[in-house]
Amino acid sequence: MARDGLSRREILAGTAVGAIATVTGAQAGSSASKTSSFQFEVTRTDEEWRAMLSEEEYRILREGGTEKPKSSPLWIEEAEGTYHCKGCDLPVYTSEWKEVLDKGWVFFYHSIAHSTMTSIDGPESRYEDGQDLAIVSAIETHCRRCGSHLGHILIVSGDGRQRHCINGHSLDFKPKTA
Amino acid sequence: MEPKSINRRVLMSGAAAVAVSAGASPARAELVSGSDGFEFEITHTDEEWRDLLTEHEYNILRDGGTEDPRTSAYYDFEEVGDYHCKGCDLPVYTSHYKVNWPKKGWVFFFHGMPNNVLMGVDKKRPSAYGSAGMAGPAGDLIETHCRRCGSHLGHVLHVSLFVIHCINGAALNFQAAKA
Repeated sequence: MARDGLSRREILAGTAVGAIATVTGAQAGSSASKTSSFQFEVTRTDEEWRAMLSEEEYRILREGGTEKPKSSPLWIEEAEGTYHCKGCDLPVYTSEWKEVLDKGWVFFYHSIAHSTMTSIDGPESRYEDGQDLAIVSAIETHCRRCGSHLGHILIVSGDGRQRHCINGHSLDFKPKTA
Repeated sequence: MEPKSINRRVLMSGAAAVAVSAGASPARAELVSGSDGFEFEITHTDEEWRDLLTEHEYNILRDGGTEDPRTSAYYDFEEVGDYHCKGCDLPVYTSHYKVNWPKKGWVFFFHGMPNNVLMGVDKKRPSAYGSAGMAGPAGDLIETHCRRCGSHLGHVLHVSLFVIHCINGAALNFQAAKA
């Protein structure tokens, strides 16, 4: 956990992409290092993140953790509105693309354009009915503005459609105002 | 040029998300406007893009088009190195995550370079994809574009049991790894 946790935090910080390669594959190292100058628009110290997030939120947003299914009330939320990144308040998802699935995470077909980025999640993440992530690591998704981990893009049911499988604890829901 | 293309170019400029939603679906306007005035780090005028790119490349990178399968230099290419965005030279993919499916004929990667690939929503489903990558009730696809210049690269699709980046080779420049 320690090594993965550290590396994942560095991924999220957006400042030490080279470190990913030591976890996921040496070949990526030389190339990834070229991107190391990238900085998220919103950055905070570790202390600031810990002060603004609960322990569970910190584990998810800043360490790439995954919540237990149905542990966030947003999994069954069906009201119209916008879902904002809990790390920086950027609107990242909307009810328009949401779908309630009994798996118990928060599912969207799409994120708001330009709001989420892809990254690579290591094989240590597990989903109950997920793919064999030990063979193929999952496409991770995080906030474009502050780098906070949101979830993954996965095939989660038999219909063959890929969805953003998102941690409810990483989101703030704002109902549409009439 | 028909409205759809105009909308797509506006989408890629990243500066007028409201205008996009006005064209695509009025109901989305206020939601999309939350995109907070985001602007890409590298921007060009339309004239500059047309000077930088061939017509074929422009159609893909700036209009969100999709190349015909097996038309790029990279669909069956196994050299070790990085693939850079043709619009701004940002490394966006690497051979480490590439998988060759020559029969399908696009350029497939399990992953994008962390922090270099943004996602959008593509309402114009490329006919060449057939039934691959069903992504929503309307069949809209998860689109991927360059974080730095907004150029369209391809899609995230469900192909052969994988959720994978399906990329236009014409959107990329390969640079071999140094020995």
